[in-house]
Amino acid sequence: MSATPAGTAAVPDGLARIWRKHPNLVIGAAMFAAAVVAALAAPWLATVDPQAISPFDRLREPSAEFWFGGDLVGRDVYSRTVFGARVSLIVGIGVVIGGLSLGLVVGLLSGFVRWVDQILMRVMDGLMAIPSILLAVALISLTGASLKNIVIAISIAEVPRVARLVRSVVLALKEQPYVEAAITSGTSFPLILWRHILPNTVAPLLVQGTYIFASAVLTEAILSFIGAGTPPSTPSWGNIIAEGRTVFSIAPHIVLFPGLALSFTVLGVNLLGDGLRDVFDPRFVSRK
Amino acid sequence: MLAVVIRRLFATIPVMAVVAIIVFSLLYLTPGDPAAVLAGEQATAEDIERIRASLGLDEPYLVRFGQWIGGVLQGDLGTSIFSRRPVMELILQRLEPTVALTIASLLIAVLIAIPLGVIAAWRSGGIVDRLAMSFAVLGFSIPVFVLSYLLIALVSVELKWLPVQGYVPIAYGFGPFARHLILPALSLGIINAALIARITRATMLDVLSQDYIRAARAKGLSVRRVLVRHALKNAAVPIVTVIGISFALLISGVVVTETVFNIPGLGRLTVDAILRRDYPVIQGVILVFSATYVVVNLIVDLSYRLFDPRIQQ
Repeated sequence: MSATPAGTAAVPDGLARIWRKHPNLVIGAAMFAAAVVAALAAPWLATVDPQAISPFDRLREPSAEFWFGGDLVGRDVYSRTVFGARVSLIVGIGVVIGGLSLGLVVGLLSGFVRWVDQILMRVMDGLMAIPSILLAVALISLTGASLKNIVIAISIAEVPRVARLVRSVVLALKEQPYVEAAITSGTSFPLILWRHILPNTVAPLLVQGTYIFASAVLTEAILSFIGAGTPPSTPSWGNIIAEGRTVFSIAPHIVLFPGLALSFTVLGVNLLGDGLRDVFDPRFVSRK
Repeated sequence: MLAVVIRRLFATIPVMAVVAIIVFSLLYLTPGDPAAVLAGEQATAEDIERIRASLGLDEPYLVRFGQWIGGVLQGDLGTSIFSRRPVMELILQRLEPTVALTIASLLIAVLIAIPLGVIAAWRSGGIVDRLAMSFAVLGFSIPVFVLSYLLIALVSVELKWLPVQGYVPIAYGFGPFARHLILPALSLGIINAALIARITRATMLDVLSQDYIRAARAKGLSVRRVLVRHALKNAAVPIVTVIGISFALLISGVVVTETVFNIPGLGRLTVDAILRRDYPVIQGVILVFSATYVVVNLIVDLSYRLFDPRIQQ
């Protein structure tokens, strides 16, 4: 951390300093926060029931009353888009938790147990060769489309990347003198794990977690768009866009607004991830 | 060289075997009765039995796997539950549009990304660099179908320059073929260009700070020659690697783009198979796409020696 530049107040203004050094982090965090607020406050932000059908408002253009217009059966696209944030955030958070914890277990096992490593890494190579959308499609077509199954399917597709990352951290740390010393001096394995290994995985996993979040939100939208995702009874950005697909040339607003919401959220999370990477990895900072 | 190719080809066998085992085992690993899920909610007991029998779910796992993998090795990917036609035949029928779209997108991605990444790195911190990096972050964030619809709205609906959707086989003339392909390939290409541009810039930044670049400039060589002959050639290995990796992005992109533009390719086949719960088709498409991905990355791996003679093994 550099000293406060001359001329500013004696008490360093933390937020202003972060803003100057890592604008991506602040912009990304603000955009992500906006999406979280939309998801949490959806019942209050929405103007009408997102499922209420109103035949008179079919394909209605955006106006002062219907901000984002009406869809094929006259439901309010604005209210549906606000509620759609919930699905995206639940999937994002679910996949981050699921993918990171599964990947952490696989990565730790691979890093520490050599014979398990051989098997697990071959399985991970195979999983990585299957495009994640198609893996999720296969899992969902066999288990049925529900929010829970979507989270599980996308999480499984994200495991190899996390596992490889954790494994490489473990392998590098095992060579470190202080870890070797801890092993030789008979420190118990759980303690080594807790004190030396896990703390060193936090920063890379945090950065990786933001990218997983972004990729999970996009994957859910794609799955819903191609009909293998969130059931139509729950509005999600992907399925709102899918429903508007057939009438795109006469009512582009049905596709446009949820599409913008989706891009906005993913952009925010990506910027947040880039910012965190800059904070944790000084090599990237010096490159700018 | 041939010996190397053959050796590397053999090295892909374990990966492909794991892919095959995963794709096959999903049917058995998923909780619940897959035959009942695939048959759908309105299915009768006979429907479920028919699907169970056609997938061989009533036979022991190992026996069924033996039969299945034996068939796959001979090019038999099973039979569609819906149309009752061989999956291989369905895939071959839909191959041309997907291959055309993939190659065109990759070309567009590379043609946009590499010059952009090189100029961004050369003028690091400048206006082009800032624009290029904003483009890269945006490319990561805009879903391919949103970009596709924006392009359709602008180019096809507003300006009426190109058809809104559809596909014309190349046999019906290159003109109509290209006119239908431009927008889908552009949407997919732009998204992929973001990833490639980012890596090109980062690698070029590393290379441009090397002493031999300074020496080449000091010798009086033109900027263009230094950038292309000295810098880009040395940055090629990571760039080619990321192009190989971006192929995975391209495959999921194809599924979406074909849906948006109504292109009768493998992606469309997959989406139709999802709606009809036609698991053998999904299984077959996954195998074909994964095998292609593995082969593309094998080619990438082999291409390293073209750029860097030091790589021998």
